Amino acid sequence: MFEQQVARFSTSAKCLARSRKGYRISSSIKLRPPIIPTIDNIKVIDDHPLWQFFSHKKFVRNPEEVSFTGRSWTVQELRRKSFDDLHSLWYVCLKERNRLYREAHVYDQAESLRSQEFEGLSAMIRESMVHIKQVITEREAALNNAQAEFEVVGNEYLGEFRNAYLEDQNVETDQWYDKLERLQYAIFGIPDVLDTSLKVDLRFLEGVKFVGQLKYDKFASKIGREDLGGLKDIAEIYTVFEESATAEGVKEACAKIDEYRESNLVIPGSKEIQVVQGFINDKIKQAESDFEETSQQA
Amino acid sequence: MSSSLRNLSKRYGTNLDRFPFFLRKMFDRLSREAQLPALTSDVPELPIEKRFKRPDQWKVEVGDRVLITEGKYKGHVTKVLALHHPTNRIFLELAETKKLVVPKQFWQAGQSTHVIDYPKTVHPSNVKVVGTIVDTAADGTERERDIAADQLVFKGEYWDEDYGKMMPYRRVKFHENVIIPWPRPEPEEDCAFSTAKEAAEERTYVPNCLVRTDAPENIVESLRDPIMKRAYKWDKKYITRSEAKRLSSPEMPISEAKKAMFEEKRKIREAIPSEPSVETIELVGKLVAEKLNAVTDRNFAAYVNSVGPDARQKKKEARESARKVHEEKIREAEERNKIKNRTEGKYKLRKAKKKGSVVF
Repeated sequence: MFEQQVARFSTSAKCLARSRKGYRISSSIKLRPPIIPTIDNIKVIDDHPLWQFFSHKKFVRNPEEVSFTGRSWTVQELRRKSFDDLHSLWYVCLKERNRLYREAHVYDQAESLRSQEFEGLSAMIRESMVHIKQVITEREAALNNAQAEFEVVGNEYLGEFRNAYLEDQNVETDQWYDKLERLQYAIFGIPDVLDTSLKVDLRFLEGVKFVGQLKYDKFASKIGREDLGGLKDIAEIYTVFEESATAEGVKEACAKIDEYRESNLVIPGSKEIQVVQGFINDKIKQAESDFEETSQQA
Repeated sequence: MSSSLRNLSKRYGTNLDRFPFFLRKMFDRLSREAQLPALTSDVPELPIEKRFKRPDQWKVEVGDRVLITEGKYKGHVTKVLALHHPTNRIFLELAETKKLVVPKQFWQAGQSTHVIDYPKTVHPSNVKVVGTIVDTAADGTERERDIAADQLVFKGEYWDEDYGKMMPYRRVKFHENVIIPWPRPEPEEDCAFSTAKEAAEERTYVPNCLVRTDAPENIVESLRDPIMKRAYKWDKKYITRSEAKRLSSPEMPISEAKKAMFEEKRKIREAIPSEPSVETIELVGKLVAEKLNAVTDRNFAAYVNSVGPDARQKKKEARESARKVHEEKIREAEERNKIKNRTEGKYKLRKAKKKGSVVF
């Protein structure tokens, strides 16, 4: 009774040992030469992300391979570069420093003084990265300063521009079209080509009002549409803004305004942003569908 | 691990400059003792702020011909091989050497013994730069002549394409029309980490909008520590005194009316008498004399006499005569000392001659 209560471990081995055939190992298992552990048995895929820590898939470079004759990027050079360029340069630097850091570590572990040469290059690259940060910060500071200054002198400048535009006899020239385009991007951030990422804000609205009113004031008497009695709400201003800065364009806009006035709608100030955003979205959709149609026809 | 990213940073890294001078000196000595003699330089390394940075500090460049003015090779003309930045010294082609025992792992290609002759460095003040000028002889023939500049001055600068920076004109002092041109540097080849010149110079950013830059929004906030308490230098809330001075407009000039007012006030100030009139003085003097003449107390009368109007003059004269007597005494004493020294010197000389020792 006592023997029956004892737990039996590794029963399979015992079973095999007592099996009638007398084999300890099953006959279905064949003996093969042992597999010697070697690096060749390890396969790493070519696009493994950790390869980014290696230069040309090499374990470590010689110190001669990292000897350099150049210098780091200066702030003056980086000031000419766009954000995309700075961003990609940052990551190029970062990845190279990761590589150098890893390799210097390998040399350090081997108690070699050659790791210093890797650190020298790394310090040089770090300087470039510090300069990138400096340039980005500088740019933002300059933007803030310019905005603060525009608060003070902006209205005066816009007034001067408006007077010059109204007083000029012939504004239907390429020079004036370019000027208007530059002004609306520089001061109100309204790009020439609209896209879906565009968000209408107060500044944008201000720009639409300025440019729309300017065009109407310039051409209203010329095309004989002073009977409208000025632009009443944002929908009317946007209609003028949308059209080209010519007498012809403003005439078309006035025709649209006539149609619009028949509906007796007036848009309150609180809805202006929504309405303009709606106009822009409609326009983008329209342009997309037109593009699809033309491509299908082609 | 020594090569830590943190160690590279100025703030958290091991920065020897933070220690006091005597500790820095001790660390320097310890590190020198630990080094192999072959790897140490005989001249101590300078701190970074004392190292030369500009060509007008070095006065010579690699490739210059120089006249050696000190040491074994004094008078020889040789060439500058390299600048040794850590010690502000230069390597010359023709230079004194020292014997070095070099460990095998630092052997150069073709080296066969442990002992090598290693050139010593020279300070730039111990060489003179050699230039060439074209000289016209009496018969009108032109010939080239070498000159060594005792002293140099650096005036004016120009863009040097080969050095890629502004270089000062190197002129001979007191002959400033003689310019010794800088030697042409070895053209530097691009390494694997270099960027092409066109790519580096290409302009891809033009600031043309007041509303946004081409960077994403809040880029600066992402670069900064969000819980940092100190204000960043870029958004400072105050201006310094000198900035305020530059920004504020000059004071308005004083108007004519105000000038007239100042003139009137000045006249009033001048019209007020600063000294009492003669009548006032006579009246006051008479009253005071009456009062003092009526004094009966002997002690008080003596005191009154001592502070009389001529008392100060008397005191002054007495002091002057005492000073004269004192000066005369000093002069006499000096005379006496002179005579005494002369006689004593004579006596000593005679004594030394008798003994036969040499007197310097």
